[in-house]
Amino acid sequence: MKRMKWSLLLFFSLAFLWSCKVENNLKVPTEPIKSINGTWQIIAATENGSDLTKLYDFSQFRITFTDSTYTITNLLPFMVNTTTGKWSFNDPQYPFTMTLTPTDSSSSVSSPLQYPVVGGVRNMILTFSPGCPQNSYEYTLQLAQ
Amino acid sequence: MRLILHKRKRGHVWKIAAALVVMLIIGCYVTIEGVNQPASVNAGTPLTVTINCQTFANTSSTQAVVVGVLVPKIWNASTNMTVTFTSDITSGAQPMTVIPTSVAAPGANGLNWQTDMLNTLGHAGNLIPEYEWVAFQSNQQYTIGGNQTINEVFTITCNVGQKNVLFNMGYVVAESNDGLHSTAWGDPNTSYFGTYFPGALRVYGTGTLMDFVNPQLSVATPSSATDNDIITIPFNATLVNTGLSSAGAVYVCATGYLTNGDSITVCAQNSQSKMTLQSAGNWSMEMWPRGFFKLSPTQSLDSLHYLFTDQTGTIKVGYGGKSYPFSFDFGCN
Repeated sequence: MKRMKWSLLLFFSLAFLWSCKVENNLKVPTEPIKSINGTWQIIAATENGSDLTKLYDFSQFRITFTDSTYTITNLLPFMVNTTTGKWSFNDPQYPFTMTLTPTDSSSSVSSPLQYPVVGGVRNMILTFSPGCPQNSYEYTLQLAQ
Repeated sequence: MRLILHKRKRGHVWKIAAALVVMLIIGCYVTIEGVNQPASVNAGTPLTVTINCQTFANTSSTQAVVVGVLVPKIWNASTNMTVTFTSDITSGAQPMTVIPTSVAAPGANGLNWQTDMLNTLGHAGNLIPEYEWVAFQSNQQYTIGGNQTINEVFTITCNVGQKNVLFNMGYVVAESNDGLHSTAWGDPNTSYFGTYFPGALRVYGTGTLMDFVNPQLSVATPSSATDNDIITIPFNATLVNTGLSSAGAVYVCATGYLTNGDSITVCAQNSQSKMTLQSAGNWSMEMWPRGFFKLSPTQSLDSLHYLFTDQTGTIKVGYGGKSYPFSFDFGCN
């Protein structure tokens, strides 16, 4: 009788455990493709590490991105010297480099890219040398209001 | 019993750890005894400087040697400079290599050696902000015995480029453990590195003299720039008595000389040419030459001549306070 009790207990314990199954509903979230569509303006600029933001008028510069093209108005020293062309990221999900290819040129220009959210606002930070290679500029852009 | 053993073991661990900490904060006292630097050098001729240095360690320690040199940026010294040294404890010239800017200096809150040297040691009174410290570290580490003093001679060779320059040089010798901020053993941080500022070096080259030493009415920067860079044009209106010494507003009157031989003059007194007062008598203007002269995509500038004017445009001040314009050559060398 005692043995039977233990057998039943063992049986129900195994049945209880057997009834468990692993739910395979944990999915790794997919990093969204970064969209930069819209018109961006310069909110900060440095040259060789020195802040130029208040020393030069960057307020009129605009660059508008669509899915694959860009258009610049009021050109300033920038990655490219012409106002239209195509753009691309090195990786649409994890972009660390932006490449601009002017319409009238087959050569493209790449820039290291940072894409942080600061104060709830998406920033795009580009670093490039439009003149002498030893002069480095860093522009911080935000979507224009 | 086991507890006592554990305590004893723990005691040993702490002693070993403390010994390690003491070893880490052992200091090497560095002194520069002298620097042999020529007063001048001709462009195209390598500049050779030797530094005589003495290092003392109170307890045996192992570290790399660090040397910093204050130079004009136009020398591109991280590429054009070599540093080696000989010493009592080594045989033959020991090579040193430029420290990458990604390497943090010890005790410098994450700053690299180059920035730490600039912040800690300054810029030797050079007036044009176109200077930099270049930092070198020995390719290997060296052990100095306890209470041992060693003598070192560093040899610095640099290609100084082609431009006319007058510059206040600066040198520092340190070591990789203590850097520029150690105060171990109650000694000031200056015990752990040696500095030497021998004064001005003149490079006889070509073009307008880039005088870092004497106050200038106007030196545009960055000194290497194309027409697609933003250049800063300063004006010290009170350095000498000019017609603009007490002006309430100052404007730039500029002529851009194109590579095809043509020229464009922009000499209107308006918001585009108006300078900003930075401090009493000191004016400046940021200029993007391509925009200032409204160049077409096919045009490019070879040089820039400029004067400073009052609001009416009748008073004009140029080089030396006279009417001859300042000049700036575009180029990246």
